[in-house]
Amino acid sequence: MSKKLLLTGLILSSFIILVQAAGVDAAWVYVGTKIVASENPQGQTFCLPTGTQMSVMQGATVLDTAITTSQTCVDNTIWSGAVNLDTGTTYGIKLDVSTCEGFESDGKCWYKGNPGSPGQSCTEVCADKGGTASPGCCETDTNCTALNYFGANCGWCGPYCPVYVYPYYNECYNCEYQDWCDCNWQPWDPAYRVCACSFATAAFNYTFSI
Amino acid sequence: MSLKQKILILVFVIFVIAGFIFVMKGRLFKDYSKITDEEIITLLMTNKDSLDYLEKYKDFQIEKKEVLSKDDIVNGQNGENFKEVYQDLSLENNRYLKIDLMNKASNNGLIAVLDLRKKEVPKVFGLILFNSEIEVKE
Repeated sequence: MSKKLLLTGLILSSFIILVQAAGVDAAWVYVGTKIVASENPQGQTFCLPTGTQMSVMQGATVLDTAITTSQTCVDNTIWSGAVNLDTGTTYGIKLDVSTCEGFESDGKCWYKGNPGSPGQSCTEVCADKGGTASPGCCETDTNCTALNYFGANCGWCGPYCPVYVYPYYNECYNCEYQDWCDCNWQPWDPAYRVCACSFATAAFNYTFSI
Repeated sequence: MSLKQKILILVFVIFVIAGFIFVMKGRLFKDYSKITDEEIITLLMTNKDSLDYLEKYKDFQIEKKEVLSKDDIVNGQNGENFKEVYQDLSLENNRYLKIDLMNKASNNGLIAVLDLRKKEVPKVFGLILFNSEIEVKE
């Protein structure tokens, strides 16, 4: 009887020791990415736009994603939320960067033609900003949000491509009539076209362990 | 009871009340901001996670010390970053000291909250910092 008890005790003790040895230390950690330099396709320093995403990954699993609510310029840091990480495990950081510095709405990056240069087509407006006009140039600006952001103060938010006429009329033309969708269409002077532009995006990956 | 005894009791009671007020005043209005770095380190060594950090990064520096007010705690709980640092803290002025440590290479740090009244370290979070050079190409 006593031998059985002794044996059972030994097995249990071994099991406890094994479980402890297999255990790993974990710690609550914030992970930060400090931007020490940022260069757009034109070789100019730029600030990472609002909405830049930084994810802490374990393999393909996303542990936390931080989405910036303001621009991140050189010397600024994007911080994750607190994540519980295990010692000895490899983790990754994924930073999704867009070079959009315009107005973001409906998931698009909007720009207005250069002040003093009314009549620019979307091809010209986007090229000036280092991007390209969205294919088809028929991007709907819901409730004329982008138009109003660029100072349109729309009294009437009508169909056609995003254009506003200022100062002679207080009118905004939104994009509902596909016939007007043409990247090279130039509005009449003094109208400005407001365009959804596409920009290069880049993903940056780092790995680390604690 | 004689007059002499009454006076003695009165003096004793006055001493007891004065002593109580003195102790409470010291407890309520103690200037915790005058805690030394050595006292901070000693307190950090009582927590396993912060002790691990101190032993691993011996070149650490105390980058920031901040005695928290009620407003600091509320603002921190509603802030964009590091919300967890402020969660579950009692809304009291000058009870907690938040400290930021960073190693010399500026890639591993620590945020800790010290409870100066209870002499405890209720919050410890590690900091891992990457330097990133972003170059976007067409």
